[in-house]
Amino acid sequence: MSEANPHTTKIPIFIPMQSYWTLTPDEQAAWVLEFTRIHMAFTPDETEAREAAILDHQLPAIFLPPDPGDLVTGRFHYPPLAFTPQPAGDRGGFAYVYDPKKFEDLKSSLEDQALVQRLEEAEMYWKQNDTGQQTRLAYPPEIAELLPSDNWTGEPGIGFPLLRMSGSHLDYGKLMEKGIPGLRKEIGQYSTTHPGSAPLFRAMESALTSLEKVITFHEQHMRKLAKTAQSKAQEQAASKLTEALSSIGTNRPQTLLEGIQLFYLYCLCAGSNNFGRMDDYLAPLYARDISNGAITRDQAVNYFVHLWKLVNFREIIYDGRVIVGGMGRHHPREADELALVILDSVAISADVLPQLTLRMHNGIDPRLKKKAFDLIAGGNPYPMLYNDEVNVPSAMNAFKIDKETAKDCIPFGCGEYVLYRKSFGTPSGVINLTKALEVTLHNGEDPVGPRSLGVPEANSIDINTFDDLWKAYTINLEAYIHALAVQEKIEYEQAGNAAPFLFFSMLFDSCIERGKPVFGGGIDHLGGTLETYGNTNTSDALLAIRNIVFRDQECTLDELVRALDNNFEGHARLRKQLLDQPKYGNDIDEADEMLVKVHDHVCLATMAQAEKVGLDSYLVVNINNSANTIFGKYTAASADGRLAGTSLANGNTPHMGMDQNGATALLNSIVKPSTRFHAGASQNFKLSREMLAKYRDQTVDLIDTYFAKGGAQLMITAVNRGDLEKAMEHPEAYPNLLVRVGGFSARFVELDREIQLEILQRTLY
Amino acid sequence: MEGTVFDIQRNSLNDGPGIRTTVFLKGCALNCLWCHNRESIAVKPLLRFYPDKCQNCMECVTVCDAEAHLDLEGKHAVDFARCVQNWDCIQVCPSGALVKTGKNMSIEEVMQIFLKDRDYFDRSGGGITLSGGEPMIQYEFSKSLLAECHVQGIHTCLDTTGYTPWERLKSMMACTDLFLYDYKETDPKKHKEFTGVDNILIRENLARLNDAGAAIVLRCPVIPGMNDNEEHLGEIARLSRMYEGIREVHILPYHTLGIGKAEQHGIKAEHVTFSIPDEKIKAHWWTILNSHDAKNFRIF
Repeated sequence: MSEANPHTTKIPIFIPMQSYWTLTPDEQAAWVLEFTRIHMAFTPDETEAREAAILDHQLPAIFLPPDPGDLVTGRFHYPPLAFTPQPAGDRGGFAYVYDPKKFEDLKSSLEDQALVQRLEEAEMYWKQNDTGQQTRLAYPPEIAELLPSDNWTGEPGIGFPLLRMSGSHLDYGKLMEKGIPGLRKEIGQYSTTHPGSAPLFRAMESALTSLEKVITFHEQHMRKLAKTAQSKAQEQAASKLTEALSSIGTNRPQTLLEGIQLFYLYCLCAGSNNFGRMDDYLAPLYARDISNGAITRDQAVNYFVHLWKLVNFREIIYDGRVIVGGMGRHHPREADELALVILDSVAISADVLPQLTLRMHNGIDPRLKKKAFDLIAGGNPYPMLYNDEVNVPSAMNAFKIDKETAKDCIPFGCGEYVLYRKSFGTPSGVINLTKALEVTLHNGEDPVGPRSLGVPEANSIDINTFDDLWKAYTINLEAYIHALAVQEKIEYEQAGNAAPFLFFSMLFDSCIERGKPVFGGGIDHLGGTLETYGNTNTSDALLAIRNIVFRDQECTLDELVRALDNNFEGHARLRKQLLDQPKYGNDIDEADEMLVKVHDHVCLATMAQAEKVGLDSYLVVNINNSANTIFGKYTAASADGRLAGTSLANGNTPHMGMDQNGATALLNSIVKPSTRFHAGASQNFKLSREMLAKYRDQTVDLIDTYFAKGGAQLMITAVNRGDLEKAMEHPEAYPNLLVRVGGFSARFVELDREIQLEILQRTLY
Repeated sequence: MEGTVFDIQRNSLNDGPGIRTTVFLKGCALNCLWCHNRESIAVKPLLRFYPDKCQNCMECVTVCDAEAHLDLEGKHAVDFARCVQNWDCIQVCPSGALVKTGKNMSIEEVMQIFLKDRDYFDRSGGGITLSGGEPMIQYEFSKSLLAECHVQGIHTCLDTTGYTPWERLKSMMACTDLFLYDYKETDPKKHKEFTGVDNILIRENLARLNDAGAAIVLRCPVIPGMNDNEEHLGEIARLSRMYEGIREVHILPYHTLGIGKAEQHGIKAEHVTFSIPDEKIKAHWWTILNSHDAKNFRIF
């Protein structure tokens, strides 16, 4: 294909088929310089050819050679420069991402100072041309003033942007159906009908060539590994994988192994961190393998166990979603069989990833439900349970879509919904509601940090009544919501300006048909999400202020603020009075109504931004990674009685330990905030394993009732009473204790102490 | 009408079938050596003190004219016998170390809490349970509450010692779907020694309930060295065979969870602490019960 394309002659083949990670430091430096040269060689309107050339340079270079014993394969690390929708770990960035730390590491490994100097020159270029930096530079002054920093983990503030193109779930069903040849054919067809999109289509073909090289790279390595295998079994596995790799380069996948391998290598080339409706898109291949006796069920389980090893190799603990079950699948019966296989494989691997997500509905195969509870009862944080009966109608309202489309509403990452194959909704902002209230109570001063925050319109309000306080708080909050919505739009524009994201554009509906890239008018639904934190604390604090200050007049607002500033030292009685006020999570109307008021406000104010800034949707997500702990660190004492610097509540749940009326009361409370105008909320539920073992039927009834009453989602961590405390004392004895933190799972002993304490303090039912 | 309630447990899973809300009423005529709810024996509310939460600020000492709160060289102590129950101390305590056990609630207030979990009851085959204490001490309240539950179509359990006049127990049948009937000791003398009363009325009432067609779960606290002998376990087995009304027998092994709670209410544990039965001892009980052909029994 490539020789027919005159454009690709421009693409240099630098170190073909060699892994960056096996190069000498000098060669690595040359690789980085070549990456830079390629980027510089294109004009800003040649984004398609530029990305194709960069992909050709980094694929397969970023990959590591396979390991002996791989049943499926694919591992990579990003070098100091990369094209990616999102770098690994906690770092921000997207499209062309420059990693200063990796640059430093590389420079320090070099002896040739001339090379070091050339790398430094390259850095000068990237400090300006890193797409994240370009985005920051594109903020209008009023946005830059409200969002001066994206260092949300290191400094106090109300709102921060997150720079990333996160949350892609690609249409692997299409990939399975067409294979690489089919994709080429489709691109060829639309090339003739959309001549204006020729640069895009040429670049897509080039990207597929890069993918083929990645496949060949792995095939060649596996072929060698088959020859040097230590055992017959290893040799057979390597040969089988070699054969599969050889086939998927030229054919559509014919077996489960080929399907898994093609999906995963494509996914890695795309830099995508979430894996779509896996039970559905792999179902036909699995069903065929089983019916013609090509593999046994146990072998299939084993393939997935190996796949999860590869997934856990990546630094994507906040992502790695695999969705099984639910309405709207193309092959529901076969998919249920495969979902059971996937559940078994997750039970065996018992690892942090994948974030296995089970979509439940009234018609769920009872075997799936039973197996899900078997896993949970065994202490596995997976599967997380999602309720289609609530989520489908909610998505119809939130995304303004029809029912059929809403059936493809799936969560990514920590729990943000997107429409599978059809929408993007990267969470590009975090906002701390409790901080907004705190700043409002201080007329714009931040008691924790050096900056003044909020807006003059709110901070100048003289607060004499609860309504005054509410008004000032909402004005402040809305200013940040608006700024973050504008920011999100700018971020998409910058993504579109930077690159067509070729691997995304080939597997999102409508991009090829329209001849447009994903962020350049190709995708059906371009949405955004805003992560909110401290919702519960803000609501509990507002209620306490209303009751203690304005209703009972136990103290003045100034006295209250003084007590908060002093972290309640010398104000123990006032703190007790505040703590004694009703709290969210106890099925007490007064407290739950305040939560609903806070929730409705932030959700509707956010939703209203979509039209203002030109997005198809802009929605709150009340999820949680560990930002509740980080934001808590930079938030002073709050009027709900929470002490300074301690964690905020986690997602849509009560503040830790404040739910004291039993599990039904908790569940009744958490169904009260509407699910119809946000894009996901997470509900963590800590359950004792003894209870689950002894009272399994009642526990299932409890959760079924919660779902029937409007529960959208539940993430259950079943722990033994006392295990968490013991694990803090003797971490070495509990290496495999998995817990649900918020929107992700982790080994308990590897978490920071603050997060451990937060989990420990959650009520155990 | 009001009753004195000392706890309401929602999602209660071990006081009857399904998911239940259990209301614990104050007052009991028995005084079992192993009682795990000693704060429930008196009908009146009691002061509870959590020493771990106390900051020794002595605010309570200042407001208590009855001198129930003492400042012992900077360490706060409570003389429960002096408490006159005006609850002033609770109002001023900044740390939540002082609370009141037992509060008066109307039928409507309790019903409101019940109805919040209606959906959970219906799906799980659950409902509400009256426990205590001994709910029959607050007979009128108990009867009205259960009757109201029946009006609302909520399944009801009555957890009772059976130590109450038959006419009263009989009148509860109309509004009780399942009796959780305690059976503590077979030998009347020992029964008196263990609980303060003999078991004659209790056994008579059990027979009458059975004859009248009531559905019963026989609940038997078993305490190592006290009543885990063949004579008593054998009799439990015999009752399970003899009385058609007994649907299940629940053997409830002794636990020590109530001891700390009693001390926090100033109730001195006068009895010896019994040993907690291990799995081996429970297996032995199982063998005895089985050898006597006990029907539908479970050891918890």
